[in-house]
Amino acid sequence: MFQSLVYDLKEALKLFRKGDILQLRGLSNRLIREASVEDNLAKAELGVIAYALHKLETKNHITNNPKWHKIRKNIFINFEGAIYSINNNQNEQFFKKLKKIILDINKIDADLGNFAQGIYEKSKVKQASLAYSYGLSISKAAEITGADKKELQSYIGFTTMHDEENEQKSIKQRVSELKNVLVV
Amino acid sequence: MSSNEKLGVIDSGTMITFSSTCLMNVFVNFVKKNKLTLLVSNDVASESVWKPLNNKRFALNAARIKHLFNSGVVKVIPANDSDPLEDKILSIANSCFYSNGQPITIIQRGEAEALALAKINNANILFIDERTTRSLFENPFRLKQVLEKRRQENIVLKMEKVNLLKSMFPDLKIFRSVDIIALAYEQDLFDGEFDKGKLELEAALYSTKFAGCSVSEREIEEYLAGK
Repeated sequence: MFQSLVYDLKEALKLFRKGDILQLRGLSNRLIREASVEDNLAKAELGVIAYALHKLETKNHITNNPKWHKIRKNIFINFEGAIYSINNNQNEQFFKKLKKIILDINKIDADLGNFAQGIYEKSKVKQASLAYSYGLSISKAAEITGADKKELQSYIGFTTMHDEENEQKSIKQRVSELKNVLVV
Repeated sequence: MSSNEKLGVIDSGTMITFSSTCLMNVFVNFVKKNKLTLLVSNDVASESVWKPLNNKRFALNAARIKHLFNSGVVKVIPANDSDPLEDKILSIANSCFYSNGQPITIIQRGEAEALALAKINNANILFIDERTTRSLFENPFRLKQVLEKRRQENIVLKMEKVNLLKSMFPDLKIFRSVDIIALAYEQDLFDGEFDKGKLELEAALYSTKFAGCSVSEREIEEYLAGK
């Protein structure tokens, strides 16, 4: 069932090992795009993980800390475990390995991060906004990434996404329609 | 419901817009002035109130929405009555667009639930701030363009599915929080909250935009230019 994710997991592991931040982000965006077409929650989760790892790798105060080197090794092991699980049709194990990676991300973030809201939570919202930009509704985009709908809605409000699209009706037209339907 | 009341369904996103700005009182004034009966499903209530009440970051917003329910401004309807209809709506809506031969799941149960609630209760007004559900009814070609532009691939639009969905809601009119605020201003419902002035109107309209309502700057500026 998750066989198609083996390539993506290997790619994510390879780029993370290399510390190739830009490619890791690119991979994340591709995974979210595909997940939004396929309605694939596992792929979306991997997309969010790849984004969060890219984000961690951009922060010198994290990458220069010895704790990060230890956590990185754990993450390598869990990526390899996830690949092994899929290859052996152990779906439950596969999800457990992904969860362990997320736990590691949250752990390093809690230990060394500077913000109350964690990198993984922010990554979910960021990548959910990407899914929304691909045409999914806010609720659907939140669902596939696990993002909080309120945070997503607020995040989208500060992007230019809604400025790029032409509306069918103006506010004036809608107000006029609203008046008409409210007239008793 | 008395005979001169109007029935509408409100999505969680629209309530979130009002609760996360300082416009909740304006919204309540609007509902009362226009004798609107607003419905939400139990699941939407859970999504916008019961779950966020446990999250310190969103608990205050959730408490504001909870007050809407408890004071009767918005009525919570048990959702299980509408399940088969929700499934039907989900199935049709999520087979309107195809990419590489695969249907694109564009809406989620929450939106289908709001639509089902409107259908079951013969409500012809739906307040929803997000773009996708609205575009599906009003301009599916625009949604097709959005999908194609963002995904950089050809999207097949199945108009027969869109028409089937529309035929289920022949009288449905869709509005956003920004439209409510604009009309509330015209109806002098800013009283007690803000002075009535263009600056206040502009600030209120933009606050809905920044809270996530799908409205463009151009739309707001066009509207303000006519004021």
